[in-house]
Amino acid sequence: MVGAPLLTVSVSPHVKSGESVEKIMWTVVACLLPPLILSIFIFGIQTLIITAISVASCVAAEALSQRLLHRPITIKDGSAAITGLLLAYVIPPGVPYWIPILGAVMAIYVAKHLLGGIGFNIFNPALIGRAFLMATFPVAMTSAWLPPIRDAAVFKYMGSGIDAVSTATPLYVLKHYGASALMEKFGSMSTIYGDFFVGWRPGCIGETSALLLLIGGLFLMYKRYITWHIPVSVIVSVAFFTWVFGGERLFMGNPLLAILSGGVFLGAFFMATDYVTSPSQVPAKLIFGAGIGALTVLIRLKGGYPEGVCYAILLMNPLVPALEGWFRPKRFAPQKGA
Amino acid sequence: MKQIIRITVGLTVSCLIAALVMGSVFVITDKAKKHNEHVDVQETVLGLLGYTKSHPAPSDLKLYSLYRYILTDADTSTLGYVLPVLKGDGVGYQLMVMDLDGQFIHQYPLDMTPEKASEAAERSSALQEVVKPPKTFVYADATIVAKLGKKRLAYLLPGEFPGFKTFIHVMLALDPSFEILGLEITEQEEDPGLGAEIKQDYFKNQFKGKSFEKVKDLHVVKEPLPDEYKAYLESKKAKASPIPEGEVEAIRSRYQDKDIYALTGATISSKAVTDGVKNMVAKFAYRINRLDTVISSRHIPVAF
Amino acid sequence: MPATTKTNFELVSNGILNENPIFRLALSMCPAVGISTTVMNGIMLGIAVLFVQVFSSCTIAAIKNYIHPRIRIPTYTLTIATWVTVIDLVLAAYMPAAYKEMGIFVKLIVAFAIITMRLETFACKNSVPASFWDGIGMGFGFMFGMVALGFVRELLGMGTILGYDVLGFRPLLFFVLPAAGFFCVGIMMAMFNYMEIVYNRKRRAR
Repeated sequence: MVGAPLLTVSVSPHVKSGESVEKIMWTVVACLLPPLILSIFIFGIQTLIITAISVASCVAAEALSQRLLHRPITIKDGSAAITGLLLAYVIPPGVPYWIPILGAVMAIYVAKHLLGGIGFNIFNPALIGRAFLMATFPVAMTSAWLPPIRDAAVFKYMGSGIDAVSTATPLYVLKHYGASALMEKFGSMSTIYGDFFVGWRPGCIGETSALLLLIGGLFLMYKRYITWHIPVSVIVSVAFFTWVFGGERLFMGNPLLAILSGGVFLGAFFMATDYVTSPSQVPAKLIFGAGIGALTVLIRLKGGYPEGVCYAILLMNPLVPALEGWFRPKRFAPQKGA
Repeated sequence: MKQIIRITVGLTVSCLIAALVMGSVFVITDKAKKHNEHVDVQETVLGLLGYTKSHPAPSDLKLYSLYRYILTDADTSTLGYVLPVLKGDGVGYQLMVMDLDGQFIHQYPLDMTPEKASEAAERSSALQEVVKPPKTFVYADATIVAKLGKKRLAYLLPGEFPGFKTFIHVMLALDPSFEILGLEITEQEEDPGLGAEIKQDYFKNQFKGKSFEKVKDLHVVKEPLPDEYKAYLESKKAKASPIPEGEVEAIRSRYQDKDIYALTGATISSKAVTDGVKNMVAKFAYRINRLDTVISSRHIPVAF
Repeated sequence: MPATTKTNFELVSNGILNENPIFRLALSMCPAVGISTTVMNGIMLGIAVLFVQVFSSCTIAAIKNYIHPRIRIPTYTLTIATWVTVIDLVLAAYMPAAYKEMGIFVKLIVAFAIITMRLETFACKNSVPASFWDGIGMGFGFMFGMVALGFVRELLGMGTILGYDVLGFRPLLFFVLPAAGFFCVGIMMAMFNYMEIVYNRKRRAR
């Protein structure tokens, strides 16, 4: 069961005895599946196709790049599958099917294996894949949103052009047209909260349902695969900074809307907690999460894009070694030369 | 101590040599450079008005330059316009002074020929004859009025505004109702490949045809430039236009009231140009209206 | 470093391959990343660097015995600035058409690391002819690097080469953005390293 390459995966203290990396990874995959199933009902069957393509190409890219770089092939440990799932989850549901393939190559070959391979990559591979796709196909990645289906017709958007049905994400509406336009489009505030919490809103494939992501995240916490520090600090700081700066005047923002829209829950529970690219000490985790939240709000309010979770995490990723250094656990052994 | 002196002397000498070389090259090349710049301005102006080598300007197209100066006398500032006026068959010059509220104050004849008027130094010496100390004057800007026969064809405004790195110098052409006829970037040092793309047709031609009302409220949008619009904007350059005959007008009207599409990766430069143009048009419209009011009320026989 | 014993040809090829400014010395990365978006930009900047490098190298090689060692860097900067100004003015005065295209590139050069570095490590220890050939090599090496980067980025980013439409569509917009500059430089550097490994292996086998 435990092969030699597994030792290279992670040095973080989450890995307890009796838990293999494979088991953890496949549990994470299982926790990520409910939002996918829901997204089929929200956006139609093509979300499943996009996700399948993304996972398949990530696994294939992993095998190929490990072959090319003469490294042991570790596709069975599920980490490539998770990258594939997460990559698909941050892609709009209406994109052409070849887009996730390019994203997968970028994520696995460049962001993971060229930067040192599993366990050594600085940046979250799935998010690098998304950032690359955003830079390369700005039109598809910012306009291929689909409005949620209300009549359970999962084949509704199959083969239809993006332009025919595209809509705008809540954050885009909020940023460019204001809160009143949001109400006009999605109904009263209470329906907005309800719909957004369950996932009935336009958005990326896997990011819409705060509820299911929360359940998945809580299960991971219950299994002690992740701790509460990063997710909670991300969500709290997004809410806090939006409350302070998000409104017309100070302390007038809407924190609940801010955490329910965009990719906050997906980012907080499944991306920011990636073992390799997040810190392992508690104070470092809290600062890491708070930094992600603050940057997210900054990008949302002042940046060019309506959503900033992806870039916020990517910007905090390279700080992880520094954070680990600042909050090194105390040595109990006597200092050298003491 | 000896070391310090040697170092100081060495540095001074090398600076002096460098200064000498640069200075002498400047002196040698200055005249040719000025001439090139003058030719350049002429070409830019004609290009903006739509005249090319194969389609030369008609002979009754005349270009008149007027220059704006700011005159200061103790604490009060007034505006002085050096205006070309009709004088017999030729063109003479006059300094017309008005206060900041647009009220006429005085006018003085200037002893200049059009050739001399285009030289900044010549203008200064002519102005010194009439603007006596303690009054002082500072050059503000120039405007070129293109006149076809008896009708004003266009205003050409050379201008500059801060870009991403240094000042961007432009020449803007407006028709008499202040609709933008064209924009030319004459000098810029933005990053090649990014900000420097402002000089490309597909960016600068977006300003063409924007009405005065639209320019007042012109913004930059970070959206990709639609392909058909890009083809339209670049159609001047292409030998065989890729757009079917009938569609040109449709595309033109579709995008006429759209905002400016930002350059990929160079939003700041795009915004700088848009804001600069906006500013230039607004200020110019205000000034020329005041100037025209004074000119018509005082019956100044201006050439333009 | 004693005066070089290389032949003129070796000096030139050294600049292009062994000590390629961009891919081997990793100098002047700002232009390599920022400006290498098109082949044309690469050629223009390459020509500008070539001239300034050759002139500055020769100047420093000629006056190397008169420079006080404490102030050599200021002197290099002055020399480069003087040559940049002179070339800029001469171009503006006598070649207005070329100046329109090249003006911005020439002005960029004053702060290029590659030129100062070549003056410091080569020109101040070698004769004028050797410095001349070294300058030629460095200039062409830089141009080669910029053109190679520009070729990849223009083709993949805009689908054109030298402004001519080759592919008919814009494949990957990413390559026009500055981030792709780093990406391409990294990939090309890796290729140069790989070539070196293969070459060394062959030589050892012989």
